[in-house]
Amino acid sequence: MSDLLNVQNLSVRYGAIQAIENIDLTISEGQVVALIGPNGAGKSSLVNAIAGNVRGTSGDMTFLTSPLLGVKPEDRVRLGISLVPEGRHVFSGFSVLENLWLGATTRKDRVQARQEIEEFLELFPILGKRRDGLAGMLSGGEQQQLVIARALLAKPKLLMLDEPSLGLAPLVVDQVYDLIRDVRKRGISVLVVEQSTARCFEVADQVHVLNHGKISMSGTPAEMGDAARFEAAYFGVSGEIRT
Amino acid sequence: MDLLAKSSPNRIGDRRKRLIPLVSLIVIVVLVGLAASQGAIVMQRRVILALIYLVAVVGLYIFVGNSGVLSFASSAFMAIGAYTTAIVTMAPNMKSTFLPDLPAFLAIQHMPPLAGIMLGGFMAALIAAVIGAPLMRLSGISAGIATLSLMVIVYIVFGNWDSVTGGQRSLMGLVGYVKLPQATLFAIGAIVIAFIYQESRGALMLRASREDPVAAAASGIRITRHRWIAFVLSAFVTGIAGALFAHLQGTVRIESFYLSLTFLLLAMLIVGGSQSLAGAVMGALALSLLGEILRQLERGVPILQFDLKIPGGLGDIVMALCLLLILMFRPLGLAGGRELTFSRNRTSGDNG
Repeated sequence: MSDLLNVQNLSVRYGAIQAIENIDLTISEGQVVALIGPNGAGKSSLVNAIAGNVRGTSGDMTFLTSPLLGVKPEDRVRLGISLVPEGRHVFSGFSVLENLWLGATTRKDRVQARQEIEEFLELFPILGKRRDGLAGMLSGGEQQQLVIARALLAKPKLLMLDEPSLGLAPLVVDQVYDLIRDVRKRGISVLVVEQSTARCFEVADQVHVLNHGKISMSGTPAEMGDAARFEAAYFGVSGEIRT
Repeated sequence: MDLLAKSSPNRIGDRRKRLIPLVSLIVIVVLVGLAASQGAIVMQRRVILALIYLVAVVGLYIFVGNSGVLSFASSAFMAIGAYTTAIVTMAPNMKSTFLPDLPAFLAIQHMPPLAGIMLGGFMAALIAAVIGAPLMRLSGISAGIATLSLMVIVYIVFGNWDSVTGGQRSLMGLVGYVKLPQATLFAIGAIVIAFIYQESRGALMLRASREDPVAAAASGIRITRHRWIAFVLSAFVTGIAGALFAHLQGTVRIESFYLSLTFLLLAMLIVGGSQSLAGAVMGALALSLLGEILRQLERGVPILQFDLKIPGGLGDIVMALCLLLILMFRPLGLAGGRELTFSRNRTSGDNG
């Protein structure tokens, strides 16, 4: 597996606040990488820096052979980096079909793109049924599916998901993670950001724990050990450890 | 029956159905033109002016409606259109009287009015293209302020550029080219341009960016570029409105193209609803009609044995009050962000 994304010494600063500090991160082709950590750890800052949405970044980022610093977010999409931002950003006043179509804005092969849209509508029957309905009227889980499908239509090589399970019912989260497995099968690399660990551990090849803007631990899920104990050790949230 | 459906042109939808909003608006404009042709000359003039405002409001809509960024530059582009056509269409002997210092290559021009009007649109588009390049990087309130500055700059430059615009003096002797048929045709033309644009993929992307800039950037949409395209096209249509205005009045003076004009056009767009073409058209016609009614009332209208007359200046207050009421009770404007479709609903998406 060759390197897809190579991040070296990346720092992000919002004025006086250091959001992330000297982070090194490598993602290989076809790999699923999970980034976990508590609120305010700098997870979103990291993915947004890779997507190009934050100013004040320093360090080196290379995607395949292209340096990323100074490249606009919309052009990083063209290079093959798609971010599904936190909070399910559907175009709520537009139909499901238009949302998907907007995901394919960077594509030149429009006929092929239309075909893929139809495939997605079949893959997600709930979206297919409401193809002409407004995206804003979909439920949270349906919107999350729509946003992921929209991001996939840009034909990314790296798909980044910022807290995809936030605010979703457990059953719906299962669907979202099924989708992530499906994405991996297509050979697309995934960087998934979460606060909770259990589900990430099921899909990830590599896990990084982010704390106070730094990677405090890295490894495969197996190396990380049992998810519950791990969680307890790092976040102090598990009942059994609490005294 | 629901006459209005959510403005959301479906690119992969039924082609014939998609044309209904366009045809409806053209029919309305033609009906207005035909009705006015039966009226007195004075009335016709008022309707021609309303149709010219319609062109300008549709021009404003192309940018504001699709991008969601407010623009105060309308009267600047109208001034550019008006002065351009004045300079190239006035008879050379008139120009030697009003503009003795005009550069020779301009002084000898004597184009037909139609060419002057189109050139007026192109000049406005050209200036928008140059100024828009840095301007379109701005968003929200700062973009609005920047367009306001553009309007002030054009006003000051044109008001002092004695050799080319005549400065504070009026230019006279333009051909009175714009009659009811021409005004109607140009109004239809503006509507067609705005409609074709809003059905385009670029406009869809621009409206998406208006709704959610984060998601738009994440989808690879080049917001600045699409805003710029809309701005230039908008300036073209607005510039034509200015040129039409010049050929209606027969004279051009810079005082006509300042704050009151910009705010009138914005008020029309907001009253009609800035998020749909139907809103732009309805707003221009509704406020023109209201303005005319109030003007008549200020002059006094005999009703039965009474002479109904409102005090002078009350018209402006009523106009402002209407704007306020619309903003309070129908913030999306008369059209409510919808196009005229005459269909029952939009399949499963009618609950929006």
